[in-house]
Amino acid sequence: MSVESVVQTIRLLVIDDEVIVGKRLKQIFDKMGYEVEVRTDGASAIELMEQKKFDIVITDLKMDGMDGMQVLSRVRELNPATKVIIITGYAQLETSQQAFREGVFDFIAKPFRLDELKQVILRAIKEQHVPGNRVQN
Amino acid sequence: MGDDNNSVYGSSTSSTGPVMPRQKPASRNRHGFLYFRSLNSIRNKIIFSLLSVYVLGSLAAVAALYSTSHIERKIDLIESFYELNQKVLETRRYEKNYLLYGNDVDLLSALDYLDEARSALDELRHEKVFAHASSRGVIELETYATRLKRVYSTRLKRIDQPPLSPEESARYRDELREQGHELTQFVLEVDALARKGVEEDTRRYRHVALVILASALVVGGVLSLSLIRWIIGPLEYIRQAVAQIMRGELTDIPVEPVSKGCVECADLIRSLNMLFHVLEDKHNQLIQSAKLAAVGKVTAGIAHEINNPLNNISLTAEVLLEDLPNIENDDRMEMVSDIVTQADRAREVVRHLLDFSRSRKPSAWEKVDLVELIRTTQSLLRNQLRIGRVNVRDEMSKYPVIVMGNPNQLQQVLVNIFLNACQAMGEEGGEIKIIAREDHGTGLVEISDTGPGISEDIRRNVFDPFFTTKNTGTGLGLSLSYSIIKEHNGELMLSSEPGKGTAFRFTLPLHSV
Repeated sequence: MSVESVVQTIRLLVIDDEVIVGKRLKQIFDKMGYEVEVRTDGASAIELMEQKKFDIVITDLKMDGMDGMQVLSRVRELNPATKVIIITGYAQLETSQQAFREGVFDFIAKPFRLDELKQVILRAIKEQHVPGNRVQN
Repeated sequence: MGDDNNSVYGSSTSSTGPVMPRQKPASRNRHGFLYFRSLNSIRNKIIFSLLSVYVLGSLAAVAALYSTSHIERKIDLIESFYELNQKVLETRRYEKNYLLYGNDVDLLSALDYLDEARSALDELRHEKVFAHASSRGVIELETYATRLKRVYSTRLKRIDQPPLSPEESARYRDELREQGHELTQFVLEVDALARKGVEEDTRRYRHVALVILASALVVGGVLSLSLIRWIIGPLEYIRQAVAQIMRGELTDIPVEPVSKGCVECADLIRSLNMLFHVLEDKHNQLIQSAKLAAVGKVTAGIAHEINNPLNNISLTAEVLLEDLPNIENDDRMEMVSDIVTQADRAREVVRHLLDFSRSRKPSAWEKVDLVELIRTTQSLLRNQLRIGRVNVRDEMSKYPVIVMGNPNQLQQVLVNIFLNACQAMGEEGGEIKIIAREDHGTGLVEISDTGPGISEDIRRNVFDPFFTTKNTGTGLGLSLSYSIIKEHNGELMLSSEPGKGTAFRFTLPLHSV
C-alpha cells in the first residue's frame, strides 16, 4: 500500500461497540502513522470530540445509547470539517440515503474489506483541503 | 406433518365414493346390505322398525275387517231368529184361537205361519253354529205340524167317521198344546243361544282388538326406545369424542364401539378422523407459515447479528495477512482466538434462527424451561430489539420454570409477543419487561411494553385470525399464539391500558416431577 507518506499526523476516531473492530483498526492505522482513538459508545466519543478535534470519524450505526446518526449530527455541529464514515451491518437504502443527506462522507456496509476502508479514508484525507495534509500517492 | 399422512389423503381423494382408510369397509358395507336381517346400520334399523309397524298395522286392519263382517253376519242371524220367533208366536196364537173357537181359518193361518217359520228355520240351517240346533228345531217343528194336522184331521173325520171320543180329542189337543209349548221353548232357547254367541263373538273381537292394541303399544314402545338408543347412542358417543378432541386431546376416535350397531356412524367417525388429520395438518402449516413470516420480520436483525462477527473475522484475518511477520506472538494468538470466538458467535446466531424456523412435530413434547426459552428467544431477537431501541428489563426467576410442551411452538409465541411489543412501541422504542416465575402451580410469563396500549374495541379482536392493525402483518401471529397456548392447556391473556402499554401474560401447567 502507498499511504505511508503522511506529512502531518491524521487524527482518527473509531466508534464501534464491537470491540474487535476498534482494536484491529487501531492496530492497522497506528502502523500507518495515524493517531487513532477508539470508543465503544457514542456518548464517550462525543465527550472526547468536545476536547479534541479529529480529521476523520469512523462510526458504527446501531449502538446502544447514542447511535451513529446522532454522532454524525453532533460532529457536524462540533466540527463541520471532520469527515464522518459510517460502517454498519444493518445496511438499508433508507438509512444510507438519510446519512448522505445529513452529510456523511461515506457509508460502508459490514462486512467490509480493509482496502475498501483505506480507500475511503484516503479520499477523505484528500478532500480535507488542509495544506500539508495532502497525501501523495 | 409427515409424508405418510399426505399420501393417505392423496390416495383417498383419487378414489371415488365414501373414503374409508385403514380398513376394508367396502366388504363390511356390502355385508350389511346383503344380510339385511343383521341390524348393523341405522338404515336397516329404521327399515326394520317401519316394517314392524307396517305388519302390525296390517294385522290390526285385517282383524278389524274380519270382525266387522262377522258381526254383520251375526246381526243378520239375529234378525233371522227374530223372524222365526215371530212366525212361531203367530202360529201359536192361531193355534190357540183355533183350539178356543174351532175356526178353520185360524187353523189354516197357523199352518201358513208354520210354513213361514219353516223357511226361516231353513235359512238358519245354513249357519254352521246352529246346524245342530236347527235340525232339532226341524224335528220339533215337524212334530208340531203333524200334531196340528192330526187335530185338524180329527175334526174333518167327524163327518164320515165315527167321532172321536171326547177323551181322545182332548188328548190330541193336549199333545198339540204340549208340542206347541216345546216349539216355543225351542225358539226361546235358540234365540238365547244366538244372543249369547253374538255376545261371545263381540267379546272375543274386543279381546283381539285389545291384544293388538297392547302389542302395538309394546312393540312400538320397544322399537321407539331402541331406535332412540340406536341413533342417539352413537351420536352421543361421537359428540363426546369430538368434545374431548376440542379439549385438546387430538386422537383418532375409535370406530369399534359403534361399528357393530351403526355402519353410518362408523363411516362418519372415519370421515371425522380424516377431517381432524387434515385440519391438524392445515393448522400446523399455518403455524409454520406464520413462523416464517416472523422469521422474515427479524431478518434485518439477524443479518446484522451475523454481519458483525463476520466483519470481525474478516478484519482480523486481513490484518493478519497484511502484517503477519511484524505482529507479536501474543497479539497473533489473541487475533486467532478472536476469529474462533467470532465464528462461534455467528454459528450461534444461525443455530438460533434454524432452531426457530424449522418445524417440529406437534407431538414432540418435552420438558421446557421457560426462563431459558425466553433467554434464547431474546438472543434471537437481540438485534431486532436493539434496532427498535427497546430496552429489556429482566425480572425472571433465578430458578428454572419447567413446563411440558413443544419448545419450538412456545418460542413462536414468545417471538410473536416480542415482535408485537416492538412494533407497538414504534420508532422511539421503549422498554419491555419480562416476568417468568412459578405462580400457583403454573408457569407464568408476562411480557409488557411501554407502547401506546390497545383500545377496548381492538383488544376484543386481537386474538382473531387475520386481524391486524399493521399494513405488513398477516394477522395470524397472536391468534396462532393463542391456539398454541390452548393446545398446551394454558391460557393467554391480554391486559392493556391506553397510554400506558400492553401486557401479554400466559400460564402453562408446571411439569410435575
